[in-house]
Amino acid sequence: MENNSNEPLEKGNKGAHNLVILGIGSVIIALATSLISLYLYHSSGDIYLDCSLPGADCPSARASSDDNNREKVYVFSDSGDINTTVINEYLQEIEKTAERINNTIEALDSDVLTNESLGI
Amino acid sequence: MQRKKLVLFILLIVFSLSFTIKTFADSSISSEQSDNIENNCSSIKDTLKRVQNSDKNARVSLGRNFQVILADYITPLNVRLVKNNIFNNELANLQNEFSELREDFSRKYVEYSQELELLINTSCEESPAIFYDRLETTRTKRAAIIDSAKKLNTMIKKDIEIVTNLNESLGGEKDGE
Repeated sequence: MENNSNEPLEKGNKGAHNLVILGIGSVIIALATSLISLYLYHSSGDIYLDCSLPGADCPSARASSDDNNREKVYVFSDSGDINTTVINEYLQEIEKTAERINNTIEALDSDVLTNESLGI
Repeated sequence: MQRKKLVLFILLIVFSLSFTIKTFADSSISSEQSDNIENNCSSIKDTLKRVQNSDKNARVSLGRNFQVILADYITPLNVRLVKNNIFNNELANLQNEFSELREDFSRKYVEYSQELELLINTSCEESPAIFYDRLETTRTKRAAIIDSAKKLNTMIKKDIEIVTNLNESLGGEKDGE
C-alpha cells in the first residue's frame, strides 16, 4: 500500500528532474549555437561589412537598394545571338560599371593613414 | 619543489624579456612621434574610425560592382559565346582569374579590417610604440587591398579590350559576308 502511494511521487520527481535537465540542456545548446554563429560572423569578415550596425553609415548600400529594382539594372543575357549590336550594348553598359569602380578606387587610394594625416 | 623553482625561473626570464621587448619597441618611433601619439590620441582614434567607416562604404560599393561585373557581364557573355559556338580562351581564363582575384580582395579586406579594429582598440596613451607598430601593419594591409582592387580594375579593362577586338572581328566577318 505504501509502495503504491510512493510511486506517483517518485514519477513526479523524476519528471521534474527531467524537465530541469531539458531546460539546462536547451540553454547550453542555445549558448553554444550563438557562440558558433558569432565566431563565424567575425571570422568570415561579415561584421566589417555590416551596414546595419550602430554607427555604420553606408550611403552606397542605400543607393544599391534602388539598384535592386531589376528593371533598371542591366543584365547581359546568356542566351541569344552574338552580333555587333549586342556586343556594343555590352560594352556601353560594362563601361558605366567600370567607371564607378574606377572612381571608388581613386577615392580609396588616398593618404589617410600617413603620419601627417593622423597628426603623428 | 624543483618544478616550482623551474616555473618561477621561467616566469622571471619572461618578465625580464618583456621589459627588453618594450625597450626595443620604444626605439621604433622617435620621442616626438610618441608624444604626438599620446597628446593627439583621441583625434587619431576619431580619424581612424572615420577611415574605417569610409573604407567599409568603399568595400560595399566595390564588392557589389565586382559581383555585377562577374555575374551580369563576364559570365553570361562567355556562356552566350559558347552557345553561339564562339570559343574565346582569353575570356574564359579572364573569368576564372577575375573570380579568384575577387576572393583574394575579400580575404585581404577581412585581414585589413581585423588589423584596423585591433589598432583602434589599442591604447595610444599607454603604448604609443605598439600603437605605431600596428598602424604600420594596418597601412601595409590597406595598401594590399587597394592593390588588389586595382588588379581587378585592370582585368575589367582587359575584358573590354578583348570584347572590343571580338566586336571588330564580328564586324569584319559581317562585311566579308
